Amino acid sequence: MEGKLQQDFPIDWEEDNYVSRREFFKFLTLASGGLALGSATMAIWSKIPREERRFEPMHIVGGGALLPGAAMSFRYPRQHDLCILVRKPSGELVAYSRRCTHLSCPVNYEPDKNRLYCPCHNGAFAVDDGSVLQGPPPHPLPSILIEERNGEIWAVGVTLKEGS
Amino acid sequence: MGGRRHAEGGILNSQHPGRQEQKSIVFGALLAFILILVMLQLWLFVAAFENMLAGHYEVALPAGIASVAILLINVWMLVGINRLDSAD
Repeated sequence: MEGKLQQDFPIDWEEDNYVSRREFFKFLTLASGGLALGSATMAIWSKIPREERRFEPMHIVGGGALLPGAAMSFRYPRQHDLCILVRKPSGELVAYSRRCTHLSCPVNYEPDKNRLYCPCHNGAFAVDDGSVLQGPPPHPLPSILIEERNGEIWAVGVTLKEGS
Repeated sequence: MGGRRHAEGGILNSQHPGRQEQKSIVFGALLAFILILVMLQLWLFVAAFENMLAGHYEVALPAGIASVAILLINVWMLVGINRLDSAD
């Protein structure tokens, strides 16, 4: 221990292992390489297509019997991923993540205003495409891919829109 | 300037006595420059990372290209310094 201390903090100036400017230059170049590697990795990562992710299909119980202008909640793809299935007045079914992209409050369907509304901070999303209509949400709602199989509704994946 | 001799007849370390001083100044300038470039790289990295976490992936590619370009400049400078040393 004492030997190590004397090595790190020698009495004689000549014994001090100071870092030369050249070594510092090499160290900075090495750090530069690390930062470039990290940035390049992020650049490659950003180009990986992630718009549409397929998960194991899940039957949405009661989805097929949903009346026009009504909505129901379900969880997909994981148990804590809250989603909302909406049957528009036209009869078309759409599904979105129910978590507001602002602070994750659950959104509610408002059929009279044709929107998904977040009561926490007055955020609202379009039912047609999940885009932000008003309020602080920074991104559209991720939409859930659904399929109709023999009159039953199945969730099969998640689609992230631009900026999601 | 060049070829000054000691009284004993030996040649100074360099052919040009002022050259060491010149090199030292150049080296200091390059060191300051690489410090600025590495700080710029650090800023680019943090900016790209923050934007990615916020879901803005479009920033990452220009930041990555700029960062690699800076690395090439730094490596070029390092090679230049080594070459300068070996030339003496």
